[in-house]
Amino acid sequence: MAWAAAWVIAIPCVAGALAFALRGALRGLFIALGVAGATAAAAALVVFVARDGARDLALGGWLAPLGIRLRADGLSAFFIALQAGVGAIVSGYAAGYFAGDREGKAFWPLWLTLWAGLCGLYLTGDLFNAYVALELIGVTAVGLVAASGGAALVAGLRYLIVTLTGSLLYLAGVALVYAEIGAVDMEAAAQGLGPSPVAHVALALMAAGLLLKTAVFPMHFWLPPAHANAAAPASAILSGLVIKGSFYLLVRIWNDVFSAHADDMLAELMGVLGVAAVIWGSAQAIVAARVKMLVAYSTVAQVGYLLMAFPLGGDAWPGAMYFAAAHGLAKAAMFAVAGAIARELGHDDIAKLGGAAGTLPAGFFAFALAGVSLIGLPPSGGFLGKWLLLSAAADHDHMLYLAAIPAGTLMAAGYVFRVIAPALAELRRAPRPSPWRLWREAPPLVLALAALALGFSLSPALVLLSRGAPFGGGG
Amino acid sequence: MTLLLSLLVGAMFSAAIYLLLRRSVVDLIFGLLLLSHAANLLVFTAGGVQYGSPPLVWHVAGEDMADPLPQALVLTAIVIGFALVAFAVVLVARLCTAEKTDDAEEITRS
Repeated sequence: MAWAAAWVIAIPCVAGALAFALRGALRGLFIALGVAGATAAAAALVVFVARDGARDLALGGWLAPLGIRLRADGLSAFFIALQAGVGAIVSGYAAGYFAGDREGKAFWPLWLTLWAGLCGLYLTGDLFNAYVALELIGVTAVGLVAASGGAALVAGLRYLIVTLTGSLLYLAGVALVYAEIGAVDMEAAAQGLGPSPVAHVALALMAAGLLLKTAVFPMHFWLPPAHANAAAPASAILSGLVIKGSFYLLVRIWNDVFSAHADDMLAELMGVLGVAAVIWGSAQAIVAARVKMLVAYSTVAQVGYLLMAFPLGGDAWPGAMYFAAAHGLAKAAMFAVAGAIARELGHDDIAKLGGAAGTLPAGFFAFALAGVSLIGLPPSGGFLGKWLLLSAAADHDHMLYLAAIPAGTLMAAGYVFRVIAPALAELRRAPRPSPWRLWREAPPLVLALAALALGFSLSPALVLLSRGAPFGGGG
Repeated sequence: MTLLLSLLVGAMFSAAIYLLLRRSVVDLIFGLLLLSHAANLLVFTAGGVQYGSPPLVWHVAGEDMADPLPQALVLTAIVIGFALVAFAVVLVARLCTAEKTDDAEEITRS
């Protein structure tokens, strides 16, 4: 049973290599098998963790001080469920999007390797292995951006510099931890790190590197051009899944490794950066000229809510995780629709969207549904995530967050309606709907409906998240 | 020796950041290279510097032992860093051929 954790990483890794080496129908077969197998392994792992609690896997039979552990607790299982769910649906979208396209050649090996890297990051119990996974995610994500060529090349190079600097800062933090206790295992580090200044410097370095990679304001400058210039399936993956990887690692080391060193001032600083991100990202989304740019800036804003969990603590942790899942689903749906808009209309200029809902009725329906979750209207995953954050803020009388969350909600409504309103106006002049295509209409609809369905499945998710008590205490 | 290596790590980090902030994209590659070497040297120094001792425990009292783990970690990090810098070189080469300049400002503006 414990081997499900190894399959979750191994299957996409092998499929990625085969997608690079093979040609023709055999290649398509192995890509499909890889996606299906990785999703099935992830589902099995999530079921095991939900039923039996956290589990460790000693690779090669070597235990922790010598060997490298894989560890699956509720938090890992939750993010693996998100990865497999969004990943499988976006893969279906990409299969249609890249059909008969040269760009797809680069997409599949990169995407499947990225999948393996993200799952490796979620499952590792070792600080150094987390660095290896971060680099794997970084290089494949940059590849996904740069594969589009043109303006994406500049954005890709900037993304590469940022992601490399971020992981090397993290690596420097790992080196300091090793210098202090002589181990890179997370559990050993948690027990061994005393109240020394070295541990604080290590936490500061790692946090700075990971915040840079998560695109937290004011270190978000690289995200909008990278996400807006990539091909639509790549944007959906980058915005929905990749930034969750570095955020997960930050949450993991904050709660598991540095729980004694994470002081209130650093937490408060991260919360304030989160508030600034919500305001700045939303404002930029409101004035954006292109749909993809708008959706990318909205990611900058939504990352802000995730950071509010650091100062709030307690119930805000599962709230922020739930919010991350809702954002992953809704954002992937929006980028998928943005890709369909760009393909069908030949542009994604918001000023020229008049009557576009007549051309792509299902697409704009999915966009609006995803918008419901992104804004945080009930019933949706976004609403419940914000509700948990708000009630934690009310419990601790944090006026700043109590004010910032509704303000961000209002601004989110502003930018979502900026796309919906012109698309629904002038419908009479609109051309007839373009023919129904399964790959284009179904994935965003399924993703958006799943974001809404999260609004009805809070209690199983909370039970899963409490497995192994990833947030300390009784979970 | 450890002090000397620590100073060297500091010097390399600062040189790397200086290079990363320059306008030329080629300097940027050198900055990334130095940054990755600085982090590697830091991991290497973190294990404690030993000269001439075997990396194995022989249970001989009073005999020094070198720590093999940082060397394995550095080896992994060197390979990853090398691959990433190679990738960056290809990206920069494509950009510079397309834009006919290595000035970051001009590339961003166009």
